[in-house]
Amino acid sequence: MTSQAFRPSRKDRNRLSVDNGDLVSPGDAFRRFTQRYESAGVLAVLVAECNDQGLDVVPDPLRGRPAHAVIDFRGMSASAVRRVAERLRAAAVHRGWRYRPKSDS
Amino acid sequence: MDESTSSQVRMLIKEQPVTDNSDFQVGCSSPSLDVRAQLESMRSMQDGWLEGGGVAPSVGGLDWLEEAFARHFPEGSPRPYLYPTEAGGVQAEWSLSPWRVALEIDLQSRCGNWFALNLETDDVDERRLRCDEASDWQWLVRRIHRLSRGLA
Repeated sequence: MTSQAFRPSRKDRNRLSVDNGDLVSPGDAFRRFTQRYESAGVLAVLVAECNDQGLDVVPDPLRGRPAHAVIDFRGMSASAVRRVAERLRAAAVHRGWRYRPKSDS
Repeated sequence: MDESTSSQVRMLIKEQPVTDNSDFQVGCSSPSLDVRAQLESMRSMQDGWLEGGGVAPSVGGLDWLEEAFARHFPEGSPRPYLYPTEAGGVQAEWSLSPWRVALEIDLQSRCGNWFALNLETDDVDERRLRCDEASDWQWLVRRIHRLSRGLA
């Protein structure tokens, strides 16, 4: 699992897009996402794990996606972003997949 | 405590992009770590592969990187997982506990950003590499071998 998944992409503008697990299940988040894109599955980090890395987590509800939230990387250097992404990846991988689609085979 | 329902330990869920390397790492001897096969899987990528964004790696760049690995990265060295990057490059990643290593390679400039993090001590090692220079590949191979033996 690449650490790139745990840092913002260009379109994110330094705010990594996630869903609040209080408001949507991993399976439902997966099904919504894969209506438009492909996905290998769903991993998760805790708000506390983000806060421990100096990141704020902010609710950012969107039309049709009320559980949407962002992890705010703004103000971090490129090096700090890479370090934090590795930390979040480690936490998520340790926790394990929250949802994986069933194999066709 | 149920992490999925407690607001005190709110879980944030993130969908993961599909790559051929989406499974958890299962060890350096896994056939999926064949560099050539991993790069081959990127040849059919199209622009927009990452949620509508994301540049596909160029075929010429993948040819060059495949040859560079074959020439400079010896058999028996810990094999990386290879992933496409949003900008059309390739990122090589190694899990060499307690180190996590990522080398982000720009296929146009043929430069790489080496980043290694010790997850136990928080030590960071960063370096810019010229991936068309044999001496920088030699440094990379030595460094990977040291980290794989638990040496900083």
